Amino acid sequence: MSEQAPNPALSAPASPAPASPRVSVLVLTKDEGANICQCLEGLLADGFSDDIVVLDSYSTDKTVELARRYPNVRVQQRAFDTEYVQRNFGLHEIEYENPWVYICDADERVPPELKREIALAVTAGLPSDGPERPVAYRLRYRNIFLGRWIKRSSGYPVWVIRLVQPAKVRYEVRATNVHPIVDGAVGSLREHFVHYSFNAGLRRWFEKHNFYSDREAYEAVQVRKGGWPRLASLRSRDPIVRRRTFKNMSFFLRWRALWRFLYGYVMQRGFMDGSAGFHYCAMISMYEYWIELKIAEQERSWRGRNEQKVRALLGETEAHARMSSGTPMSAEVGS
Amino acid sequence: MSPHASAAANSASPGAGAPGPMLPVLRPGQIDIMIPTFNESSHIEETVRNALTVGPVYVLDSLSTDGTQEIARRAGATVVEHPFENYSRQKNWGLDNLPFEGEWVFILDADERITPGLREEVLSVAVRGPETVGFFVNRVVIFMGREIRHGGLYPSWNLRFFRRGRCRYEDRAVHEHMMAEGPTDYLRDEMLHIRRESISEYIKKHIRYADLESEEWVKRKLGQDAGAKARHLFRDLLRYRQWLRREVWPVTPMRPVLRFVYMYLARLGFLDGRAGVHLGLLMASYEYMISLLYKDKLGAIREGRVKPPGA
Repeated sequence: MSEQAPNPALSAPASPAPASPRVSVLVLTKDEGANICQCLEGLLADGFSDDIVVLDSYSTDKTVELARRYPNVRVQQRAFDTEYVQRNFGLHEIEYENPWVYICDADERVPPELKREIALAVTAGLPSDGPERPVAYRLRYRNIFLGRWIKRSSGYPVWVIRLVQPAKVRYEVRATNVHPIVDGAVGSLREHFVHYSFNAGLRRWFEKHNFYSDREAYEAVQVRKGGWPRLASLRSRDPIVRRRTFKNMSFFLRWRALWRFLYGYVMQRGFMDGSAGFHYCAMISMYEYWIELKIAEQERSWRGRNEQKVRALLGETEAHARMSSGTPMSAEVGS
Repeated sequence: MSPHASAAANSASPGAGAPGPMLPVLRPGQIDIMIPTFNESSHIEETVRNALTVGPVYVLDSLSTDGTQEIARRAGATVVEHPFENYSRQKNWGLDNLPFEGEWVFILDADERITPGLREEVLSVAVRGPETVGFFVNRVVIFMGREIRHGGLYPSWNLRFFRRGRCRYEDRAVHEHMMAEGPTDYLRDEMLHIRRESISEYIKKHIRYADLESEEWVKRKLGQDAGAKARHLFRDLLRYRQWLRREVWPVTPMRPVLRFVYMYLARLGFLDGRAGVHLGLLMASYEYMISLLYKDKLGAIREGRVKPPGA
């Protein structure tokens, strides 16, 4: 399945022995040509990492070519099957130079303060939930849109596990969401990483969400066929079941786009994030509108009705065609 | 094979100084139909059958990769392939080189159909043979199972039916216009324009156009489109609309809302029912995507994340 980069020189650490403690980094990519250079340069700067693995899902752009230009960067390619399998492969099937691995996306950046905190965490260790030393750390991120941190509308703070000892963590799927399962204690970092969700250009965002809304609409149509979900599930012990039920109920809602906008802009106080907050909420609600439209397209079978309409309007033409097919047109009118 | 051969023979003949380019046969009152295509396999069979009820059908294909040519041939059309340059050049090439024999030509797109009423009308006009050299044909969009008669999408007049050799397209890359050598008129009946794509394909197309459009806006903003100065555009009145579209519309605030209000209220889109709402909202989201892409691209250039176009 996988294929080692044909440049063995890069797989050995080329730089002198690290002056400060370093971590390895895993970057999962697919068509990240627009982001990959800045991402790698950021990770290599300040002596943060001397061992970066780019696990690429056969990009069709220059991602791989660009990544191979950097020292201490190894590129591996593996066909993407599902997210959690790909992530587990990245943690368990790749040998790292350091005991700790920081997991990063190409559209994320690690600011200097976070680098310092990570260096501290992997040497001295920071406090964890329990008595043992942590084997993984969770941290928060700042979503940047149109040059501004959209704190409220992006639902901050969201905690994610990104700094791990690879053997202690594996990913599992629970109700379509991928969750890391940690075998040991988890600590928390105070600093944030920065997420430029729109760095690859907004066109990419629109295309992705056009695709996601296809899937959401398909799922919604299936859910709506099954009828209104049991309200009892809202009181389930399992937070994932509760979320799921809530989401399924939302598929029965009309004016989804409007409600989503009011939720983000008013309830989550997106208006406090300035015009970036407004646009973020408006874009999400446009995406909700696409979902709603695609649900209607399937349930009301617009395409079938289109064909019926056309047949009705042209019916006579086809009949006439059959009637007059015996006579060549030119002879008919030329006489 | 024969269509290729005859097309080649025809294209070789002008330039020899013959007065009328190539009119080996002229059948009075006959209408030849030209259908320009590129990857129209989902439509072409029905289009050809529909067009054959009016006259011989010529499919002018821009080297489709989805088998359009074969389907069209089987349906009864003469297929000629010619590499695409732009819409006006392609159609002019077809008008000059296809082995037409009739006195009249009708240009039909693959997603259009001729209604029974229009068929009767063009056939009777062709036989009557008036002085008129070209006729504008009206077109109604079929979307969500409805005829769309409002929202600014109707009426939509195009010069499509004309005396062979008396009309040509103006040579320009986009928004091609037909030029007629003589009087023109309007036909009473209309053709159908079928929107068969899924919402997903529709949005995909909007994303692509919005990306191109925002690119143009960025270039203009950075002053690289020197040809579009207002003074220049005002030289003739026709360009006034172009000035509005290029200079005023892009800097108008709340464009998505205005677009929706225009289509849905001012142009009575609400009379088209649900389809009217959705056409308005889809166009509003198209406008919105242009604005966002523009803002984002300009920001990226100003922050130095991206090089300006042409730099």
